Amino acid sequence: MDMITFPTIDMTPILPEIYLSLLAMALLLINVFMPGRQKGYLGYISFVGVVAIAVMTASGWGIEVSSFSGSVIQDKFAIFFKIIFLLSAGLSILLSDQYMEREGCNHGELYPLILFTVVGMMLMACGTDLMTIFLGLEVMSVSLYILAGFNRANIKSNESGLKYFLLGAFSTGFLLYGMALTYGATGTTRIFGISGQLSQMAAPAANIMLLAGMLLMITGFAFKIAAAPFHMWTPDVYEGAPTPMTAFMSAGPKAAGFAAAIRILVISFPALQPDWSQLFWILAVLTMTIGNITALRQDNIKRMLAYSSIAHAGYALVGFAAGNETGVAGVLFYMLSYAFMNIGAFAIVILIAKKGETNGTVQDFAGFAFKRPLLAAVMSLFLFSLAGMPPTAGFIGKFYLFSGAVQQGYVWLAIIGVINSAVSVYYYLRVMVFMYMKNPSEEFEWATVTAPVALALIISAAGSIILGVVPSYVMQFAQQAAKLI
Amino acid sequence: MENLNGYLIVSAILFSIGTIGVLTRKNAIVIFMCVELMLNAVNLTFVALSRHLGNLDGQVFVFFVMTVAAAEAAVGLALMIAFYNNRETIDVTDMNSLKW
Amino acid sequence: MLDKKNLIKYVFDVYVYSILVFFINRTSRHTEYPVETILAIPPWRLQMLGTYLPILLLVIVAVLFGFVTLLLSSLIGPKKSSRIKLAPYECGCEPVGTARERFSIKFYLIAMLFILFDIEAVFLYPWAILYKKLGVFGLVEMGVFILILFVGYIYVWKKGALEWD
Repeated sequence: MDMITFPTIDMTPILPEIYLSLLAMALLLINVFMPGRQKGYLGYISFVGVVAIAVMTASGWGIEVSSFSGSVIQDKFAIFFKIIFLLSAGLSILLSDQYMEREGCNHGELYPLILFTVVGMMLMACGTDLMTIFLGLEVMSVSLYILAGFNRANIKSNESGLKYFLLGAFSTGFLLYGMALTYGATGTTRIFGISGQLSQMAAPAANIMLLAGMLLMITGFAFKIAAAPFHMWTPDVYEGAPTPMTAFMSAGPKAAGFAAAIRILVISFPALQPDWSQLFWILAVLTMTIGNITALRQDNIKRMLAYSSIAHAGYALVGFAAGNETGVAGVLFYMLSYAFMNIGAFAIVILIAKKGETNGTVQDFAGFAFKRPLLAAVMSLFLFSLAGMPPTAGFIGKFYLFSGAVQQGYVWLAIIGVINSAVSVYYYLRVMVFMYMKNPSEEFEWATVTAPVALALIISAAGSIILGVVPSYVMQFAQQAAKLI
Repeated sequence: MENLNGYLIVSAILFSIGTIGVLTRKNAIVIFMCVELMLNAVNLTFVALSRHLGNLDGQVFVFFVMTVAAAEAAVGLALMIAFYNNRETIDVTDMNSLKW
Repeated sequence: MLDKKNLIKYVFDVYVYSILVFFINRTSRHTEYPVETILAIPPWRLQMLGTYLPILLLVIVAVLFGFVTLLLSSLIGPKKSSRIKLAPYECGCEPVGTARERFSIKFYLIAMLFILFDIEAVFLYPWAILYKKLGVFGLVEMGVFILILFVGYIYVWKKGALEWD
């Protein structure tokens, strides 16, 4: 009986995931063994943990390690995305305590679930095997279904969770079928192996199985990043989910979907780039336009931000369609700035809303600037950034995305993108008009700003400004990370 | 294995039945059963391809798909119970508290 | 309760099970006869494979044992049949009633937990087959795996999800 010998395994690429999982499991046990209904301290522990792991992850910058026989990799691309995930998780954790306390669902399971979601997203970003990416996606999705339906007593939250679950599982089926057919056509699930097989094929574009596999995978990812015409679930899920989780969902998992899709398509299918680029061209135009046009007529602020997040996925798809380094760097930069500005905007929405998610329409912002001038100014900053006006992060991000498209020769795509972002100014400014130019319809108590929420607001405001004023510092990291091949 | 195509066709048919079921059925549990049918169709594809190609990656994939499907089923059941507790139904046409 | 009838059933089950285990052990030890080959041999040629003759004998003995015990119990056992004893199920459930009866939500909870912990066993099978080849490394890996499951188990336990009332 001969023993199977194992190569020495380098754990470096998945160390952050391991530590996060350990932290999450420890929190789960602390949650059940510690008596008492106040679970806020779990939030502080997990925030500190997330910060520590972010520092640890960032310290690996520039060290490239591939491990588990090519299943996971630590490269700059993965690290950049991992920082985005940890950032959005950290900000959402800061927002959670006050909101969950108000809604009366401050269960300690929230924090482990957020951490497990991050573990899944990180595996998606660092996975170089379809299996790892699939597992990461599922760890992320399953935790997110629960987070969307976290407010058990609230019918809207239930509905949000259930809808997300049904459509998410449905899209997983497509993604998986795509992976199966790709495996069939190339005989491997490693994404570097797939690209190797493709380069040996005489005419990869004529291989029906491979094409079908790629198309089905794109469909699956389009569901996950809420690209039109697969965006129908987004507004409902975002509206019903607890607001901090909506903020989290719109920033983290969307970025994770982009991370996995970019890695698979850019590394594995460069031979088919003309085909998938055209597909993303169409997806980008549809997504931007549908998102913006429908956002125009929304009164519910969460629903408006949901449609706006569809539109933002469309902008990022512009960079993806370009598929060159500028475009991919633009996607990376945009996802980072989107995490700052969108979570910041949702933080203000949390402060405006009252128990049971009432008070969540654009009209309820009336007179906000007179009562809380500072908060209104911060909200305006986020809205400016979302609308893509200089000198904010949103402007620089869009600039890089569209210039990537122009470089690749997609001038029309860039023009459509610019027109769309002009349209979007209308509904963002509408909120500001209510804040600054209307009197409050009735007197009511504005919520107090607790310390964690204030910290989250400071971080996201600082991020939106710094990325807009001195973008080159972060941009150079994004450009290094975008060198995938 | 000469009849790889047979397996692929059967699994494609199963996958389509699942897809159509998801799109046409109204009961959340039945919809989820259709999703499971889709996943198992994919499993069949993986196993057939794995045998055909003579490498084990596909079979390992099937292991993971099975466990993930189980985790999804557990979470889905829990969400359906929560919804049922509030609405006394799991019909998707009754999921209308969020306006379309 | 273990009455005579049930006891016989249990003995019979254990017997069949042990035969199965014996069969699996025999086949897996002889790699020159994989399972497919053995199943492909017509039954009338089975005695030519001297190695497998004991199995055939065992099966015959097992079947005989089952029949003989059933026969004996029906001959010498006391027979006092009542309505309840003749009911299709004897587990305390009411056999007749509306089929659309509501189940306790507890069943769903137990079902969920069962699905989760049951399916994880799928990862134990490959390990069990290669147990000796994988050595200490495999043992440690599975230990980590079980430990993670155990954390979930402790959570479920402390949450009180395993208590029926």
